Amino acid sequence: MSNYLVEIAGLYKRFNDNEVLRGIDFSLKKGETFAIVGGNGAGKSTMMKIITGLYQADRGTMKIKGQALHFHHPQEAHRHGIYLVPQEPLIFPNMSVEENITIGMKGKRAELRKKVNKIIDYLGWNLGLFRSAMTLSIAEQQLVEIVRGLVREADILILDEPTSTLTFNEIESLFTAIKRLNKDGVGVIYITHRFAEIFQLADSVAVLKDGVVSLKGPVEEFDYDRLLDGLVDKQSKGERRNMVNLQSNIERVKDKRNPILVVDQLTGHGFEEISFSISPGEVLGIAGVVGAGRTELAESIIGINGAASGEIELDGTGISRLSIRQRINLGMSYVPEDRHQHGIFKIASIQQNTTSAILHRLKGFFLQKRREIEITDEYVDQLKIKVTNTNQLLSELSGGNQQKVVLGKYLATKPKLLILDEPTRGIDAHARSDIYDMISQLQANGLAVLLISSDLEEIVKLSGRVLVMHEGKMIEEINREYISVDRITSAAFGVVKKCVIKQSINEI
Amino acid sequence: MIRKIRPFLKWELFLICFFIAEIVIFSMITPGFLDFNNLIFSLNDFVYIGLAAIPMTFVIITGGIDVSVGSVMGLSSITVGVLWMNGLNVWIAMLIALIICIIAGLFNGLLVAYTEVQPMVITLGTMFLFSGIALVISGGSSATGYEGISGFPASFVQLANGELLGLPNSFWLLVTAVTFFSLLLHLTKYGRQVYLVGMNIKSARYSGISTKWILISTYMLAGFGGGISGIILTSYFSSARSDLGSTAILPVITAVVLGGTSILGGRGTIIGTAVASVIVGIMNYGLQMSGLTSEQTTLIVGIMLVLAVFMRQSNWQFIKKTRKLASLGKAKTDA
Repeated sequence: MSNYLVEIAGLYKRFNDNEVLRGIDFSLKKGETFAIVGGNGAGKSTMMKIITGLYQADRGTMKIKGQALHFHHPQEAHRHGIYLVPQEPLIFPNMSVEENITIGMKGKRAELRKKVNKIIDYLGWNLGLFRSAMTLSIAEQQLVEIVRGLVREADILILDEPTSTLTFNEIESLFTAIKRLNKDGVGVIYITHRFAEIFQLADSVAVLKDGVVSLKGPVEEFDYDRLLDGLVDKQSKGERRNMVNLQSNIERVKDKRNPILVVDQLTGHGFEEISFSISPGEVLGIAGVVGAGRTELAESIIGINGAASGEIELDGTGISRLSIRQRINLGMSYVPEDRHQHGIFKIASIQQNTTSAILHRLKGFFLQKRREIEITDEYVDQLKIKVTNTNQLLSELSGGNQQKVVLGKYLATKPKLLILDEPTRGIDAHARSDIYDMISQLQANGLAVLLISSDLEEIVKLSGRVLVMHEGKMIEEINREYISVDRITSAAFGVVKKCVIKQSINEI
Repeated sequence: MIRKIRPFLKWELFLICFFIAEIVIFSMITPGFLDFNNLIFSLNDFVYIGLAAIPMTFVIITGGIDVSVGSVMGLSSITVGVLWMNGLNVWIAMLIALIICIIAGLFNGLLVAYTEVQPMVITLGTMFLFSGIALVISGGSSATGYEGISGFPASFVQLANGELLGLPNSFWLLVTAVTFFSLLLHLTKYGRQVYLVGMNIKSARYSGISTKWILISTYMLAGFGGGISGIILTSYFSSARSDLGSTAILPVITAVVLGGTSILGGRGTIIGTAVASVIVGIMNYGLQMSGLTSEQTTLIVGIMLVLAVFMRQSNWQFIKKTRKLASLGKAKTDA
């Protein structure tokens, strides 16, 4: 029998025009923990979904334990011993722990129980089989998921950021378990954003970047810098945006005295002690990996979710206690990340969409159709939205045009501060460049723009200053002259280059 | 514009055909049915359906439902009766009853807006709560549930039984309700917000719309509708009873859904509901005239509700699919 559990060669996958995997080579040995790191959209999830049979690869071969296979369904992957523990454990809260573990398995209950007990004893965990799953902590839920896989005789475990919700002790216990499993020949693919864990746990590491494995090897050959090298484009590495413009520097200093928004020690669900300010005419980028707390922060600033503590001041007014509408009225708008869920009214007309955030500002009790038409026409023109007429249903527009309507709807509120959350996700190149033009235009008109994006090129291109978030904390602030994909990536993964900061402080 | 209203046109056309067919069939079964006076005065019999269904349209457009409206009718009826029996002017009693019904709606709305529980479950609970309260009030009056409170002044009885300009009062009531609520739903900012909340409540919240208030207010409207309905029933039967309207929920919901309001929210018109409530009413009336028991009539209205939901839903999917195909085709020709 082959010494390799998984061997993948030349894996390709595209979704529509988007090539997500561009020739992945990867192999996992028996008893090995293989860490995989990569930025947002690098292709980690797609790769795992192909291994577990959720997606099919367009090209490439996959061998499981020496046998060339092609999965069409997750069940086939289960049968070959592959089990994925998702980031959010899938637990049936109203069932017992035992039922959760053995769900869907054939065989006698007593035998299954014996098997489960054996595995739990072996791992040395304390899981009450008859407890209701509702009472489990998230760490325990994760353990249940792992046992679920092992009872099904999985020898290839895939763990997707298992520690993101765990406390320190829980992480320790999980790592001990993984090491024990390794000893018995179980191979583990470990996806993570945390560099420290790689060195603590993994035997090998692979860095994914833009759908290819940019670096891989035994973990001994790596250090933080080498990992970062793999995450960042070779060309853009070291390339700084040397746009030191004295005038803009002076402007910035001047503007800092009158910031439009001041966030002070804001703490809430998913983010801690965030402080920053933004001035009129400034584009402030907020970068970070998925789950770093960027959207949570933005939603708290606009008032969708409350904050536990801290202050938000808009144009000198404390707004922490105001409703969303009051905040919009004071001149702040938030263009949400999830367009379909939070941005659009699909079965309403373009016109009804455009005026939805300013309805209450139109005079009178009755609708003012003529005024609505004027406003809609204004933004359709300004944003170059392609429509046949403004009574068209929104669902008839393309994604890019839908996004422009959402932008128009929030611009119609005449904001002084616009928060854009992933404004160009999933839209075509043309609409994207229109939106970039619009952002520059707004900036020139003195609007402050808070730009949240996972597209680092976008952040680098548009922002005058970048804040990087890592695990809910503001880990670094990068000034205009030092913005580069490289710097942002390091910080997003929790690596702050101290020397560079010192240097930049000296220069200022 | 035509594209936008085409699906509605189709459905409204269907309703009118259905209405004509209904009248033709009943006039064949029951001689003397096809008589203008008979038909227009039959409205007295079922106008309560429309009066409750029209405000209910608002609730269903937000994606909710209020099944407690029948109990609210009973509550409104017995409140008028008991207050009047205790010496209050009947018109003032009526006003107080209406306010109580709006408060009942407010209670529904608060529960719906501030809990994660489905409106169906909440209003099912309050349905028993309100009818319980109505029973308690009725018990306090020492009037038996079966007989109810009767002997109202003639002017109050005329409310539902009288006529104006040769047409029954119930006709004018329905016209007033249609006009008022059509204006409110279709031409005001409030009505637009009701639609937006029904289409996507999260988008509405992110747009700064006070979604909670919109939800609460629609349940208050439904409560108001139930209240008016209960008063008209009281006047029609000249008797106040706590169980009045206990079977009203089926025809009311049927009228709204048959009228073209999507049970998923975001679509619907007042005029559709009004036409459908007349269809449902004539159905009830005609079936009973042709000798069916009220249980058998209920069976048929129940089937109508299921069919209406089925047809609306599948129609919806069908339109969506053809739209998608059309836009795909368009995209291709564009390219």
